[in-house]
Amino acid sequence: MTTGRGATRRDRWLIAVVPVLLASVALTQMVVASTTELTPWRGAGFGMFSTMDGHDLRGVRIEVVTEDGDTLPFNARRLRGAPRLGGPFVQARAWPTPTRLERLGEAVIDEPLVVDEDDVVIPAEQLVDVDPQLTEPLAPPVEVHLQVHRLRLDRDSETVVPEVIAERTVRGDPTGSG
Amino acid sequence: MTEEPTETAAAPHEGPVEPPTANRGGRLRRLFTPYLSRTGMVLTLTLVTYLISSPRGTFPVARIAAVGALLLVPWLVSDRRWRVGVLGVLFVLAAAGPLSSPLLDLDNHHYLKLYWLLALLLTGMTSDPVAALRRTARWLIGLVFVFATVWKLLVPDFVDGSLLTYLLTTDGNMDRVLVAVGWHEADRTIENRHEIVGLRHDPTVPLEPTELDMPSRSVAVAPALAIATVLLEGAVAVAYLLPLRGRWERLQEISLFTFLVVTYGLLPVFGFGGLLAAMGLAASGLRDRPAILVHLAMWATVGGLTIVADLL
Repeated sequence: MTTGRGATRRDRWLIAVVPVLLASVALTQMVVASTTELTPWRGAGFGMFSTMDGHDLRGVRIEVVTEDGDTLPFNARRLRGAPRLGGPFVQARAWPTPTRLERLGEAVIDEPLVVDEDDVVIPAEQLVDVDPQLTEPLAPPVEVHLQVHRLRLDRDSETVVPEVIAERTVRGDPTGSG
Repeated sequence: MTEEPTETAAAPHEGPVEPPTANRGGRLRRLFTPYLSRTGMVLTLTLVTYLISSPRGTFPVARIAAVGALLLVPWLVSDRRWRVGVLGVLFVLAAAGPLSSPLLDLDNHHYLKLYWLLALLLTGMTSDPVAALRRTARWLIGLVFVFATVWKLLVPDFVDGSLLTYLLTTDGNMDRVLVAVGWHEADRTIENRHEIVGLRHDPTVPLEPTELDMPSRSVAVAPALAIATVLLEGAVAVAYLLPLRGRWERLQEISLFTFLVVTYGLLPVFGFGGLLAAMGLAASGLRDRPAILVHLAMWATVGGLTIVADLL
């Protein structure tokens, strides 16, 4: 049987546990986002709308090197909704560690790709506003260059200035075995 | 086994209780009256907000459970075992989807929804659920605004007005509102958005400084808006975390309502605003009826602002 005093202590614990959990996670996020490239907008630290360095304001540029040695731009605009690329993309953009960039690069290499009439590479399943007749299948790239950048606003010159915060080159399997 | 009073014992907190000998229509009234109690309204607003704006990755079964919980509100209000059981199942189902999808894809209000569902569950196990939920809600609202305020003070590009200048000159939601109130000329910022999208994702666009067309009024007002935002969010944090008494306690409702109208008038995020209104009701020191009316008005205001923003 719980005593009244015990019940009070139990009540206090039940009242405190969620606020303590929220504060612990947010403090950890604050430390991690201040010391790494984790965007303050993500990670449950309540840093949304505090900085231009938000996940949605960051850019991800991808170039693929074909087996012929050509370097082609990759259309990264619709990656968020791509079934296999969406997860690695949002994670690499929000916190571009070498491991996350590596995962995104590998996902791009493993993805069926096509080249459109402007020589831009697109995931084969993301042909929105693109005529499939005007695309050609692309063999798995031998290399993928990834670059994540953030934007800074220079209010005096009224310009946005891109700043690269992470880069990585991921090489495909040279044997072509996937 | 611990014997604890059921929440029925806390009826004085919960507004008038219908007499058992209700006349014709009394059964219907008895069914709906619990929704109009404080706890019933907190649960209703929370669950409707959750259904309208579920966290990313939410499993359909969690939404079905939320609909079930909404239908069971009369039992959740009056019987502790129902509340703990139903909210326990709902929390597990609600957390399973988002926590198994990429965590870095979740917005802060998605986490707050899960925290709040857990708080509703855990405080339902205390000897006085209404008082316990009030304390937890005050802590949660206060902490959210403490962290939001500290982040804005930590990062230089908020206080110097850079972020708000950028949003005022590129964000489609803000632009629609500012055009509607005559602040911006129509379509002034479309070209800015086009430039930014290319700069961010198109490898054929050179990665170099890009000039934006910035309405001078927006550039001028952004730093003042930034300072006002910090003061407003700081005021919400102070109002909910300090043990204010008497009239000073009304700073909670005033600061929260002001924040919701100012912020979500420009950038409506119903999932956050609606949830804050539900949490504010649980935290409020007002008597039941005025507390419900004030926070229902907050919730409806956020919903209305979201609908207006969509229509513009």
